[in-house]
Amino acid sequence: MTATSPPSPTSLPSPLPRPADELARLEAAWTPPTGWKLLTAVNNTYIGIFYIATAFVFFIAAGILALLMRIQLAVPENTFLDQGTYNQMFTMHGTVMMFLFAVPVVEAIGVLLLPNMLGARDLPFPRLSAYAFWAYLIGGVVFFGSLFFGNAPDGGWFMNPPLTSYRYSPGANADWWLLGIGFIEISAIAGAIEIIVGILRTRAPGMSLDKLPIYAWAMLVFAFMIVFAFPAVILATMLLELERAFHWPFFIAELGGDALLWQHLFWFFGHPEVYIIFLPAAGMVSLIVPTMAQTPLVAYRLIVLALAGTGLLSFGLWVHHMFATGIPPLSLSFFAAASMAVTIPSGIQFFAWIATMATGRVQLKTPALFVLGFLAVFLIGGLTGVMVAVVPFDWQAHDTYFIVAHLHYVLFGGMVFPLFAAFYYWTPFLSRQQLSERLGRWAFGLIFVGFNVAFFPMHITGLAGMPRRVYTYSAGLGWDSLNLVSTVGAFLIAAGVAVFLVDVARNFRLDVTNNAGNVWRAGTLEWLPTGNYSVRSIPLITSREPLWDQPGLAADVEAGRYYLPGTATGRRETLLTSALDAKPQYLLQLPGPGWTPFFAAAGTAAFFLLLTVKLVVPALIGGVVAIVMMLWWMWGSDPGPNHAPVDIGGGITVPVYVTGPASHSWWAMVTLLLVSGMLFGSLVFSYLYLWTVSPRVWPAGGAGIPAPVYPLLAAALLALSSAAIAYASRALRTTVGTGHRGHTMVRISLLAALPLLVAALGVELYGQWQAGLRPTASSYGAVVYMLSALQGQFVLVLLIMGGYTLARSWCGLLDGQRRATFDNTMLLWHYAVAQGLVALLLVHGFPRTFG
Amino acid sequence: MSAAATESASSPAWRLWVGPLIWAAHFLAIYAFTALSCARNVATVGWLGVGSVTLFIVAATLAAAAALLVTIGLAIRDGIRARTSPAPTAFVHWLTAAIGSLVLLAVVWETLPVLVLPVCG
Repeated sequence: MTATSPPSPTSLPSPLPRPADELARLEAAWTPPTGWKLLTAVNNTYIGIFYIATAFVFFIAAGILALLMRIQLAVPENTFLDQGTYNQMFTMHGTVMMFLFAVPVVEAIGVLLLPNMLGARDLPFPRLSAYAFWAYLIGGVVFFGSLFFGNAPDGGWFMNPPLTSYRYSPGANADWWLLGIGFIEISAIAGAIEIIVGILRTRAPGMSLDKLPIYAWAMLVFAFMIVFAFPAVILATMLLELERAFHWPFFIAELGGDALLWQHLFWFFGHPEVYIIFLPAAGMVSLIVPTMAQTPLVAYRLIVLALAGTGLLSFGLWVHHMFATGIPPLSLSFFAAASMAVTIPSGIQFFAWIATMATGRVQLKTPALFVLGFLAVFLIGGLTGVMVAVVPFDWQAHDTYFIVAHLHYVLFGGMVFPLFAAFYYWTPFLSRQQLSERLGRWAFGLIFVGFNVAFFPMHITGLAGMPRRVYTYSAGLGWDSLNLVSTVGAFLIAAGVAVFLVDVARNFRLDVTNNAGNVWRAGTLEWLPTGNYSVRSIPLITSREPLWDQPGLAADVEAGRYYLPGTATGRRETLLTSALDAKPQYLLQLPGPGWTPFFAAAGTAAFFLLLTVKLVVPALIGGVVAIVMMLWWMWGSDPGPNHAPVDIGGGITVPVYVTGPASHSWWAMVTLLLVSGMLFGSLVFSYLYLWTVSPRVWPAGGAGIPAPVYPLLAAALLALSSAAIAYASRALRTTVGTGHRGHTMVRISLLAALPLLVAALGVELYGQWQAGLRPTASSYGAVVYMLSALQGQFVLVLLIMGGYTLARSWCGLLDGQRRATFDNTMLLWHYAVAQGLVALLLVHGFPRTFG
Repeated sequence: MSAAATESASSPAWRLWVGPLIWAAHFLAIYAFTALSCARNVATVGWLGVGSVTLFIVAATLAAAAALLVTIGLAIRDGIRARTSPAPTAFVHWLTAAIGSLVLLAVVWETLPVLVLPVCG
């Protein structure tokens, strides 16, 4: 433990007695909406609970699909489901479990727990969380609904082309996956940005990086993994949808495409995805184990290393899902070696948990049982993982039930068991009473036994040769009784989940303010007395387990003796602190309930989902609604220094508004640039990959490439537009108030920069078109136009953001101090210009150099 | 505000990214070079009887290992110097060195197969 001496009671930041109306004003600012206005809630507690409940419904729905499949497979030559329906069911089971349950639920738990655990009042972008949730809910429900119309995706959860391209899947089934899942991924990225900025910038004073709860470390790594992994699959879905809709041949071999490109992009996301799901669960385990053993976690530093190391190395594993695709053996071995390397950090965590349990005395309550179940099941999954990381073994086990067993041991073991542990562990944080210990033991027993009965035999079924994804099998192949046993096991799991639901119905009574409280005697901040405003006053942290090491902390926090014991501005607010050592920096004013996130999400969902069924005009209307709602919500979010610096207690005075690299919005924008960079990087990879595979469709000797004047002109226009923005930034710095002449220069520069950006794109497109290149002719044409299409998306966004910034300038809402809006636009602008220049260099320089 | 900005820019926390970036660059380089050499059938060309892929990978690994050793060494040095400064700074230096060491092991492991396996099959 790193406890230093806690502040003595006499030196606490806010003296008693507190003003009589202080608590009432705080409660008033944080009053949640009621009735049907719950749709306008943005507070993390509400959004977190909505989010978890929705994800759990999808867990049950996808679980029912699994039961139906197990009924079909219980006996050979069964006719319960036909082949087409079965294909849709296994595709939807995998897709829904991964995209609509696993990722959302771990993100949701983060949204719910993190502010309290960090001593913040809320996450820094509450409306973004609300938007992400509603987009996910609407998108998820419609996506799942496609099953009832026999129109659901049926190409497997990883959607490999050519099966899923227009030739073999002409219906809308695959489009539901590409557009539906594509946009739910946007929601995951929104959540990840929220979590990164939340963890790095809204921690209680004193909670430096070395005192961050392990769960928060896990969520930080998790969120960065989403930032780096999800863009690859977003790009893949864009490419496949363009191939399906407009016949741009990215994956068609005759025209220079390659189906394996999909697999590279998909698994570059797909393998980290496994750890994206596992790390938050491991983070939860790292909080539950010390509490159950009543002793600090052993090897805190090594676990942080393990989380970061796992997150990092998981990006070097993607080809181990492609061992059977004919990649050179040496290349395979890089991935086999990286797979071995990632066992080290996983092992560190395992031994640390075991050592913690051995150090303390574990109370075998339901959360501890689920954790023990997790350790056993995940260990087996990890060991079979080492087996399939061995290339020759994988060639034997590939696409058999051995893999089905392995992946369920890893995912169910690594994530679902910890999740149930978390439900039992954190219910007293949310509910007036905790869940039943007796029912909890039944739920655990049924799920644990059922899981092993269902999935352990699949190892053998697989080794006996049963392939994945078959809807039935002949009798007498040695698979009959194994399959029947698996089906029995599946129903035992379902019975366990049913017991859990009964427990929830009987005992869960949502009440954050009067919750059951710290029944486990845990040491982290989420167990402080809480209200809708999170903590009454924001504590000064001197230990990793503040509730264990800082006596009287709970009472002092509740009495308002720490920082910010009320609302300083009369609005919702949270304290922003520095990333490394959590020193107070400024007060962030937060928004209250509002309709805009809901309607923006509905509009976004309408855009993507109506596009799936080719209702283009209504889809565009949905898109416009979404953009208008977002602009409306943004309009009030750059308040400027509208309040004098506030005293938060302890002699610390902080401003209520900052701009530049210290501001939370700058951090969020930089994170978004990382997402954008990964998206573009994935496309550059695709270009180079297609060239490696099909040099024959690349122009030879410079023929068919536009004359140099086009890229040079486009590059000059791009550089000029960036220069105009840089000039506007300088001009803005000198402006104060509204009457300053610098404002005119800012507006002129912005007005000039916009057409320059559009013109650069136009010149590039015109050059390619008049040189005779068509996107449908070859994979070369497709990927060259795709680079422009991606640039076009940025140009479109910048047209909106540039126009919005201009509008704020005209309305007098932009000046040298109040410039966060301009700064965000400027960051994205310079990024887009840099991206455009790199794309020009690639498209024009590469074929000239290597053609 | 400017003080806060300066603190962000000079924070040792940024160094946490150095090890991961070296690992990623090495991994990408050896993977891309091998794939391209096999696709273009140029993997047999070499120098002193050693194949080009082997030479490239060994060179890339030596470069990556050297860069990682420097990163780890600097982090250990600064960690020792930071013993009297606040705990978070020392922690970040420790983590930089630890991540650097883990990825150094990964870099070495990813290189070993080139000594025993055929390149393009």
